[in-house]
Amino acid sequence: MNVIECHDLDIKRGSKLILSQLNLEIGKNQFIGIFGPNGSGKTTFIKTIMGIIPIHQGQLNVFGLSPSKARQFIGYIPQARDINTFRLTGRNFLSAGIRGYKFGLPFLNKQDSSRIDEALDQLQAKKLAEKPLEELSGGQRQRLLLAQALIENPKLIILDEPFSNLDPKWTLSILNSIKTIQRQRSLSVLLATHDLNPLLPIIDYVLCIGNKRAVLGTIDSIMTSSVLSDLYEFPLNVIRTKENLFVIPSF
Amino acid sequence: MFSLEFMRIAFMASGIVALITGPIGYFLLLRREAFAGHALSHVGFAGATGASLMGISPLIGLLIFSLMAGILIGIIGPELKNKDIAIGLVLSASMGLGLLFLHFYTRYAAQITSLLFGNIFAVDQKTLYSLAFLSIFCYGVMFFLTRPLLFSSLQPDLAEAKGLSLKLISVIFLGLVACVTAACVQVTGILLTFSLMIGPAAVAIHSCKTIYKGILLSILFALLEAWGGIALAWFTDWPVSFWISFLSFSIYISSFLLIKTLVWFEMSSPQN
Repeated sequence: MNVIECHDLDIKRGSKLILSQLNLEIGKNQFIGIFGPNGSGKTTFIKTIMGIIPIHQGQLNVFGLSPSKARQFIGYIPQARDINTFRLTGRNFLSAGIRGYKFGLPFLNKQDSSRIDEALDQLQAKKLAEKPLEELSGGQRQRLLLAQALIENPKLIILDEPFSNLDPKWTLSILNSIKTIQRQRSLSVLLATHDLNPLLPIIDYVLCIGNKRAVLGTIDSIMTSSVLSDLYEFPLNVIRTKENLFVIPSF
Repeated sequence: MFSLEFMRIAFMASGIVALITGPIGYFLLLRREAFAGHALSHVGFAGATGASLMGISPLIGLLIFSLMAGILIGIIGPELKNKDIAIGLVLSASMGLGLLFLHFYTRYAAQITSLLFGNIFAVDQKTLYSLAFLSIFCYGVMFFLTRPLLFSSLQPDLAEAKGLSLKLISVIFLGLVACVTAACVQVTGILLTFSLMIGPAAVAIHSCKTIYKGILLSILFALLEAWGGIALAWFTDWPVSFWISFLSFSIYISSFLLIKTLVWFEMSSPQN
């Protein structure tokens, strides 16, 4: 069974059409980089997969289920938002998500605590979790959020712009952690970014979004001047060096 | 002091109110909705004066208006990019309406003063029972609401992705805030609810690393300020609301300076 299947999918945000006639299949254990400039629809696509934004037309299956039923199998790290957590520790922050969608009191049982510990251990973030969240750097916070995404043993992890505001050192560190976890747990990963360069040595496929359309393929087949120029309806040059890739407008 | 019945009732009533303002204030700050809490009491002013004009209990008018405003803010709030503008406009419109009711309501100016600045010594047995009922109701709702409320306050995007309706949580919570505001007005009055609802919670939230400790400390400070205010009013013959707001302000400033100093020492001490 494929992780994600889209057939003639249209996605709207309010009255604005964001993605049109999307057809794609994403298989198991794949690392997909979702690439596109700011405002291209990466977050909207992710929110549709999570069942937050309803499907306008067409079909979208996640693990063969509707998005709202499949969300239990997904570990999600939303785009960073400035949230004041005052003096609350990272562990408190993470614990709030345990069955957080169910009514009741936020008590944790032994199993919950051991699952949190296990996820924190895997990311060597146990010490970090005892510190107030406001004292942590962006990279340290991302490490905790990654741990949180693992708590419920997901089959798919979706990360929306996890590297925004991170320096290259932390970007590499988080990326290596994601790759290690993916291998260890046989996970599928979708990672949205506007800068594909850090992902180049890691991803299996790239999903390029723009101009209400999306194309999926290997980096070599998608990140070319002709494909991108066609997708964005603007002449673009793709220049590849040994380790980097540059997309520049062709004037 | 405790030999007089009105003093015993005053301590009990303010204790009940402090028990519910503690956790509600904590979540108001966590959700960055302190201004909404402040506004709901002001909105209640129109309801209370309107009810008085119609010969109904001001508490009922206050409760209905605050509740309606709370639910309205909860419904339209998430849609608005800048919540404060909507809340501010609702607040000022309600105060204006209250002023109009006051214009027609020419009797019992003392009752209006009590509404604005509180008069805990005027609380009778019946009001005490109403406050106790309101408190039990609020704790009952919080028993079910706390987990999703906490999740949606700290991680709204993730909570929504997990299927939680942010709007529903917001409406229920602000409805609850309206009930607590109506109760708080009995002690501090409309204009000073902020001191008992937000003051103790602000100290707790800035000093505690865990949620339960924060809520507990918020309740303890609210009790200290409410009971301390009554005791000081007894000894000085100054208004209770003044003492509560004074204690709230003093404790907040002292704790703020203390926390800053402790954090500075912690940061400047050599790491192990």
